[in-house]
Amino acid sequence: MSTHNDYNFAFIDENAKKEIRRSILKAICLPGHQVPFASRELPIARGWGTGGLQVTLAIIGPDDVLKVIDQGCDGSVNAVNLRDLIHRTTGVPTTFETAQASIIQTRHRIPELPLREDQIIVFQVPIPEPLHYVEPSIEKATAMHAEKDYARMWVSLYEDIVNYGSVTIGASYPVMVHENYIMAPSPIPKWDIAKLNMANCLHLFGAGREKRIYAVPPYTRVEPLQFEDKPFKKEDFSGHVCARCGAGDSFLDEIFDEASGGKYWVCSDTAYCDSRIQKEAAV
Amino acid sequence: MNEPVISVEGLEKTYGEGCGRCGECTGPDYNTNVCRYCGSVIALKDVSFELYQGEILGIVGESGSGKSTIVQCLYFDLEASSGLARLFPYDRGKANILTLPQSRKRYIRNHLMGMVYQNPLLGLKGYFTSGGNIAEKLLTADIYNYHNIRTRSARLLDRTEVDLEYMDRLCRTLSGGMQQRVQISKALANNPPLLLLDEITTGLDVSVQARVLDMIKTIQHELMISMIVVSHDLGVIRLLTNRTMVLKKGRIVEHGLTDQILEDPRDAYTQLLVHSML
Amino acid sequence: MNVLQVQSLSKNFVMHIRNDMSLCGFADVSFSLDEGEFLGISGPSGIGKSSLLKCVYRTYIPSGGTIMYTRKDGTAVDLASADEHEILALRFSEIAFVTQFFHVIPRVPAFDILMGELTMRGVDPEEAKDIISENLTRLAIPRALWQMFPSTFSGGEKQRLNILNAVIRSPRLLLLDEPTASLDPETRNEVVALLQTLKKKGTSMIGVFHDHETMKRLADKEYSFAQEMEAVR
Repeated sequence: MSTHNDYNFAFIDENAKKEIRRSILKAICLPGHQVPFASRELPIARGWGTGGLQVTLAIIGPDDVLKVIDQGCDGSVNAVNLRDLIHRTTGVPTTFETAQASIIQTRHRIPELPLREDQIIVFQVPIPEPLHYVEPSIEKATAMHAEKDYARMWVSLYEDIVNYGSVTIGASYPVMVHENYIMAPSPIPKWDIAKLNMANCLHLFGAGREKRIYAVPPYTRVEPLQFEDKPFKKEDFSGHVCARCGAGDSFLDEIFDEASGGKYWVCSDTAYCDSRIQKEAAV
Repeated sequence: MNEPVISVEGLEKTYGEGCGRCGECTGPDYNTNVCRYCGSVIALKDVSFELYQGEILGIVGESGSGKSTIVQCLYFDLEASSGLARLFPYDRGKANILTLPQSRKRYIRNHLMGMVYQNPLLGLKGYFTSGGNIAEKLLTADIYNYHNIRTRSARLLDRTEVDLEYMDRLCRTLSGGMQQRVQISKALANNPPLLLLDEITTGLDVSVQARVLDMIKTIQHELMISMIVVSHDLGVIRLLTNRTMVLKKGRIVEHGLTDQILEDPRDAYTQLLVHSML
Repeated sequence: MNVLQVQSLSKNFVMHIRNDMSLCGFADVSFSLDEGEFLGISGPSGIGKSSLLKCVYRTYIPSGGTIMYTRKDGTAVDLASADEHEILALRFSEIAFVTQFFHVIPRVPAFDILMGELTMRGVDPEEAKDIISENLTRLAIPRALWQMFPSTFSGGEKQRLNILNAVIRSPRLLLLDEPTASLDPETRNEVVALLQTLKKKGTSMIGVFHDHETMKRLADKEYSFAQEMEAVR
């Protein structure tokens, strides 16, 4: 497939890319802080990953290798369409293998394989404001961030423990970045939260509908909000392994088997699962 | 007893442009707040007072006299137009707290002052539990241990006679009297040296009123906390306060020891007020 | 040692809401009071006896004259012109007033009211309990009433509670406005004995009495308004 020459490289025009890159740079300088940007119209609808897509299009160059995943899967519709769009407007090679990619655009997962310093992961974010549920006004929430006024956020965790015995937030668990800003890590599972902490790679977050960009640079402390005596717990898959590759150390999806009426578990990260099967076959 | 906690000089609150002649046509002598030259409302003018440690100061006056405006300006709910307010536990009284940046004001609200509003749901979040509301205050003091928060909240609620069974109920489902107690607990959570009470017994029935007044008095004895009590009820003022300021049309018309104000009022308006008492 | 020196004290009231009508409370009162001394004030109703006490306590602001009070530490202050904080501090630690009316927060038990008076002044709660029990017993307030609200008390019981409220703090200067007005002879004797004990410990007192007999038993000297006012006229 060749590049569509009627469009600029990476679809959006150079001035727009510059504006997005400036926002990205500012975001990197203020880890966890949401920087507004002028979200552009794209050939996909808002809410389908336009934030992540604009970030990727602004940073991608001819030498990059691209990987796009949706909930850990390279082959789902959203991932396929975004990968096609980026590939057809840039001509950069794409890959399913985490280790091969220089840019990974993702929806709601971080790959199991630890990322390196020369890799950038771009998150698609639906709701960038972690205080959204305790303070509906964006103006007030912005002031709360500025003054590190997070007591109410903590109260929401407190109330969860009072009512349910533990914090019930599943995806997008609020994290404290560099002991400074509370950040929504996009709806990744709690399983992936630890991967953000002191990571080797750069994390960029784009919210197209909400027009916000934020970042977690490499080697930045990222910690889930937790009471000293109520430690944060990630998902527990003990007793289950992947039905395909047998992995017991990855984030598993629970699948209902219509044929048998039972349940089985498989790796959410398809590339990780495939690589394990290939290795097994090679041996 | 002999240290001031807060001193206020020339506190002023104007709604509107103000014109330089506002002062000469408003106030108790003219029986109006509205400047006849520029139409501005002079809600407060030339309000000065000092409050000493352990003292309870009453502010009385008719509706619209500006008595609530004073505490709202001091608690930064309203922005004062001008004036100097020094809070001695803050930076040893060197700063004018009225002109501090927002973040410093928030610090003072959370740690050095407590406010109890007439409407409890102004001071509480109805969608949080009683315990959660108090936790919010404790969390501003960086207490991140769930167990400690629970035990401290329980102790605070106990002091204002809130049964433990109400600790995990949503505030908006509690009765007015119960909400008022939770609000007082919350205001006291971080042991502020100054407590502001704005018409706190006005909406309560008399039996609850008596309990709340006794509670306030007991807490004051125990903690030797300074308080400003705003009320239009001279009975409340007599039972709670040591000193009283009488306000009319945004100015202080008389101030003195509470028993002196009630028994030997010198200003015409105060005399009217006192002799109208039931 | 001199505690109080009142010089040419006068009080008049201006009623603004009655066409600035002026009322004379009393005029040109002078007396002095030593430590442990009791000054009785006598005279017909409405002559200004209570007003005089209220001026000393600063419930009334005197119109003229001075009230020099010597503090425990020997320093002197003019109660007629001292600032409010100063007066409050003295009321807290040295001067008490038994008024004719007893204002307390409703629905607080009598015992707790007295407890509050002592504990807020730093008395150990256990010790305070003993002091209060002893005094309540002494003034024959039935034990059943101790945990009751003063609003349920009879006039005499209320009055005794009012006296105790001031006496248990052992003030240096005690002002008494008709403290035995509605008491039967037996409890009156108890009150007199209680005040005598306090007096022996060094408390100076000024008392207004209707009942000349009781006053004679307590007072070291007397200030008679009737004669003085005659003299003024």
